[in-house]
Amino acid sequence: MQLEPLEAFAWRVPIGTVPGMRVPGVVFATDELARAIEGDNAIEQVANVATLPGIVEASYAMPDIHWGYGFPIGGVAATDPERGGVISPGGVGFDIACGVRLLRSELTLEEIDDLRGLVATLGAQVPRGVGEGGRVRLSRSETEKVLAEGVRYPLSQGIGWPEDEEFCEDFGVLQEALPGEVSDRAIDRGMPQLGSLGAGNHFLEVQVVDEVIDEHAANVMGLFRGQVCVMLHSGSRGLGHQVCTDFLKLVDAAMREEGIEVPDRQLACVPLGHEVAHRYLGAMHAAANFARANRHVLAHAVREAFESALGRSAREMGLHLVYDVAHNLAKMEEHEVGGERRRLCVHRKGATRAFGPGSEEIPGLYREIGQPVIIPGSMGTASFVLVGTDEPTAFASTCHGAGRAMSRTQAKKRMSGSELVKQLEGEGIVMAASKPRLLAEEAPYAYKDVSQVVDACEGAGLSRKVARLRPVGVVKG
Amino acid sequence: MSRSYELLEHTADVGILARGETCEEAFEAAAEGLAEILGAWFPGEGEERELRIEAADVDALLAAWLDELLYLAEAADAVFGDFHVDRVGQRELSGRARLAPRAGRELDGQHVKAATYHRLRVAEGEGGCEARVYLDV
Repeated sequence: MQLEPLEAFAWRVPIGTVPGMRVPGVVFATDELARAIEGDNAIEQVANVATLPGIVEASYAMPDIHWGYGFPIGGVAATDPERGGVISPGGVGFDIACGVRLLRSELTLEEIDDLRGLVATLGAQVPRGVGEGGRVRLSRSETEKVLAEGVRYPLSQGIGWPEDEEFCEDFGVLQEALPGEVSDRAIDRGMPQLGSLGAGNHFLEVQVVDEVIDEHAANVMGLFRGQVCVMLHSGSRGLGHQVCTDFLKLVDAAMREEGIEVPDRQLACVPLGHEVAHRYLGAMHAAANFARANRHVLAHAVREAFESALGRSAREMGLHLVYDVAHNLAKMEEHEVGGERRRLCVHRKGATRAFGPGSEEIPGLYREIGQPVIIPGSMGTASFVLVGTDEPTAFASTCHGAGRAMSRTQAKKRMSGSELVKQLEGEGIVMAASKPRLLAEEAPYAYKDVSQVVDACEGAGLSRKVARLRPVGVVKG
Repeated sequence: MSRSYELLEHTADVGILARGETCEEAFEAAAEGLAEILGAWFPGEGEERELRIEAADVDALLAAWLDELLYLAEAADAVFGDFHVDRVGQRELSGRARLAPRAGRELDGQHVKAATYHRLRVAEGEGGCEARVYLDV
């Protein structure tokens, strides 16, 4: 399947590419990324999403797009409940509200005498890997409180700093959550897992601000060149996975009753007015609250690790939260479509919300610059901090990361995990990986060039670069 | 034993194509594939647990069977010693899985989030039964 040039940094997947498309697909990419995308099944997935009932404007795809399941990874689709619009759990994914949190500090790298010791302490303090429980073991009723209150629950238990709530997307909690719609099985899975990193492509990195591109925005966020930061990537763990599994089944059944057909069963969907849609939205938001709380507790572990390793208080070291974003979520949002304000269900699957300056949905401090967007690069390569622009393209969405460029099998063939560790250590990056053998699956060469991805986002008006960060320490499950 | 499986390439995830003379055998092979991916395959270990799964159709049964095994592995912190599927119906499955405590063993496998419905297919023909599923890792 081929992409047709639309405008600078934008390509069209025309109606008719697959049967039943209601809108075109629009893929944001540089020329080089576009050529690579054409070799992947992702274009077919962009076209499939365009068949969803009530989809508005286009089936969008970010420059880091790659083959997913149902939705492409990097897909954005908004549906209108007033026009038969649907909600699709596949448009959120199994790792509900997986996302990224960035902490800054007042430290420069030179002030850290023993970086290897700091990374080792982080590795010891942050639960990671398969089968590892979290920092906090919750009872059933405590888990339900997390589902309802998000970061407010751990805050009420003395975990984290009060200001962390404001600097988290959705101010740390989605109020429309319905904890009662989260199954016992999902709660069973979540109870022992709060404050755990997970495995796969989840990670924690100690990073240094390498380059400041927008001085003013960086200043507002408290970022400066040479500054030590910590970025962590994790999600809703087994609880979120179970919520998606549970509702995929229910939505699949309800979809058949409604007589809706989709080209890929993972696109199972149900009209937003349907009872199952209401229940899924509530459960998904509850799982999102768990994900936010998870990253909140992990950040607390980071602060404690810094205190332990460096012998100073986290407050003194200025380990403040810059922002926390989700990149697997669906929310009801107001957007302008054809000159009219409409309330839409915006699915972002491997894509990040990027509200522009003036939005009341973002902290007051950031309203003059726009919403921060945290973009992790692949392991060992640069990460970026961006801001949303005042162009509401693709329902104010942008990329989420570098996006995979090859399969895990292909990645493992190129290099062994231990060779990769050696290579990254040789580049000055301290590595703490629980499973070196699987590391090659997450190697930088398995991903697209994140610089190209963020350039394409900037070129398309989706977001603007503020700072580039490079890793100096990596902790992985 | 005529059951077998192979892993399918995917950019971010992994697929299993399982085969057997019967659908029961294909489902057993798919489970074995999942256990291998998890690094949780320890043939002969553990105690049998009876399982009964219901789903909308036979394709969804395949996903539900693997999701049930994923749940058990996580909730019980267990590894797998064997799988036996007694019957794959149109909407229900009965079978047994042998589970053993992980007992602190480091599993040399990947974390699997769930079975997806992407390209989900159970096909029975003259040559036997083929079961295909993609997993979110």
